Parts: sequence; C-alpha cells; structure tokens
Amino acid sequence: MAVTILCSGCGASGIGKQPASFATAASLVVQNATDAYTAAIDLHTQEQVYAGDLKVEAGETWDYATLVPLLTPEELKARTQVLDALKTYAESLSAVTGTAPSPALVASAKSTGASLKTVSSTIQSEAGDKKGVPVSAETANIVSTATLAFGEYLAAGKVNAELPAITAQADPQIQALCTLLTNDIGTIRKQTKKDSEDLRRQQWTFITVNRAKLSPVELRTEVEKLPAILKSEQTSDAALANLLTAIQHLATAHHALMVAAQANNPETTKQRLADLETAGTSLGSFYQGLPAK
Amino acid sequence: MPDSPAAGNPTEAQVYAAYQALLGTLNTEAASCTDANTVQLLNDSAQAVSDALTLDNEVDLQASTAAFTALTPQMKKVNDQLTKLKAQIAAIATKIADANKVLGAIDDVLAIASKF
Repeated sequence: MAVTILCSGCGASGIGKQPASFATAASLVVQNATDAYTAAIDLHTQEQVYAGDLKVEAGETWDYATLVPLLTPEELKARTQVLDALKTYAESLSAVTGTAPSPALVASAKSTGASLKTVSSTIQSEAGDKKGVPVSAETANIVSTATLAFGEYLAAGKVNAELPAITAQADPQIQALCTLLTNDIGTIRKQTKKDSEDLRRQQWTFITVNRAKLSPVELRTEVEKLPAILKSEQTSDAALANLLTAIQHLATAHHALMVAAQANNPETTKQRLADLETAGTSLGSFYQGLPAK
Repeated sequence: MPDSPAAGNPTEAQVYAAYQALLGTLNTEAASCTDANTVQLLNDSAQAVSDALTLDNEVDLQASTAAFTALTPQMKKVNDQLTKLKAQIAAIATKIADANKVLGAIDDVLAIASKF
C-alpha cells in the first residue's frame, strides 16, 4: 500500500502525456511540410521540362541550363532549419514531461535498495545474526520504489517550475512560425495546382500536335498520362488543404499547452490535441502514396 | 503580397486572381481544341500567363525566407532552455546514484572492519 501511495503521487508534471501528443503531431506537420516543399519543387521542375519539350517540338531552342527551381537550396534550408527546431522543441518537451521515469533514475533507485540490503547483510554477518535489523528483498524493493518516487517528485518539481516560462517564451515563436507556414503552404498550394494544370495542357498539346506521328500504343500511353496527372493534382490539393488545417491546429494546440502549463490544468487541451493528432495522422502516409512520376 | 493599394487601384490579390481566371480560360479552350496549330497557340499564350503567376509565387516565397531565417535562432534559444532542464533532471538521478556510492563505501568499511 505504501508503495502504491508513493507512486501515485509522483511523476506528474501537470501536463502529463499531452506534450507527447503534441510532439507526435508536430513531427507529422514538420515531415509533411518538408515533403510538400520537395514535392512542389519537383513538380515545378517537371512543368518546366514539359514546356521545354514543346519548344523543342516546335523547332525552337530550349536552354535547359536555365531551369529555375521553385525554391533554391538555401531557401529550402531556411525552412527546414526552423522546422527541425520545432521538431526538437516538441520532442524535448515530451522528454522532460514524459510520465516514464528516466532509465538513469530507475537504475539509481534499484541500486539504492540493493545497496541497503548489502549493508544490512554485512551488519548481520558481523554481528553474528544477533543484532541489527535484517533487510529483506521485499523491504529493499520498497526502498527502491520510494527512492524512484522521490526522484520523480524532484524531477516533476523542476518541470513544473520551468515549463510555464519555457512554453510562454516559445508560444510567440510557434504562432509566428505557423502564420509563416500557412502563408507559405498557401503559396505552394496555388503553385502546385497551377503547375499540374500546366502539365495537363502541355500533355494535351503534345498529343494533339503529334497525334499523326504516334503509333496506337504510343498514343494510348500518352493519353493515359492525362487522368494520372489529374488524379495526382487532386490528391496533392487535398493533402495541402489538410496540412494547412494541421498547421492551424498545431498553433492552437501549443497555445492551449502554454495555458495549461500556466494553470497546471491538463484537461483544457485534451480535445484540441485529439483533433490535432487526427489531422496529423491522416496526412501521415499521403506523400508516400502519391502516384509515381 | 501587399493588399492595401491606393483607392481605385486593384489589389495584388485581385490582379493575381484576374490572371488566374485568364489562365483557366486558356486551359479550358486548349483542352477542348483538336487543331494542332490552334492548340499550340493557346498553349503558348497560357504558358506566358502561367510564367507570370509563377514569378509572383516565387517572389512571395522569397519574401518569406528572411522571416523563416530570423525565427530559427529564437527557436534554438527555447530549445537551449529545454536542454538545461533535461540536464537538471538527469542530475537528480546522479545525486541518488551518489547516495548509493556512500552506502557501498559503508558496506566496504563494515566488511573490512569485521575481519579485525
């Protein structure tokens, strides 16, 4: 019973497992945003190549060395760096507020009970079983559990003391980042839709201009690309719309976490985090499921 | 993308939307055209409009890059604080381990003393 009481009173940081949910959702947003940038860059390159094909087809020159990436490597790096920092933040938050005690603390606590038992055995041996208090395996375990509880209590105290300030300092940055990402992904969505429509028009132009020169099988192959491009366009647009929603939820969820940290009330953020995880999870495998080019 | 022009002038968003509508019309016309010369002409016109829209999007993305760059060190500052907190929590485990060393030392002394 003593062990139960000790354990039930320790380890909670006031937010419990919610930062772990935040970390999962943040990780999905980071991954999907990074994938969205990469997919948009690749699509725009493909659009320029299709346009170049038609120029060559029409007997014009095409300087393929002048292909312009939608985002330069430096511009992409500026985005991935801050997204990586967000991921690190979410993971660190999860680590310091996690309900599982650290392996180092568990090892130290176990060692305390074992050490006490060893000392007791030594005393017993020296006193010839006549003096001292024997420490049984059960008592040693209780000591270990109590030590673990004490260690967790101290760690939770540190977390509770520091977390309000840390989340309050991070929140304006998270909100600014989410606003930036919303604008950026909005632009990426416009560009992706436009590039996809360009691809379909360029493909149709290619078919129309070359119809007489293509064999029936070649013609079928080229025609079949049209619905594939359309399907890819629709899937991308839906995923980018979901990503925008997930980013907005991330901003809301972090703000709720900050409020919960100030008030030490975990209940207020549960529903928003559940929404966030649902939105994030639905995006999880989207980009891997895109039709192969 | 500034969105507050002088009175009477269209906003940048309105100009973008107008070009987008034009591109949509050209795309639709091209998709329903089966004449090689006409479709090529429509494609060339659409490509010119499309390139203008791409340029506008690229300018928007470039403008955001500086803001992303500025945010990174601020996020790193917050992460540094979390790293310090993690170290403080790890120190608690170390202190308990130190207590175990004392118990071990006592045990050693008792074991040696018993031999006298």
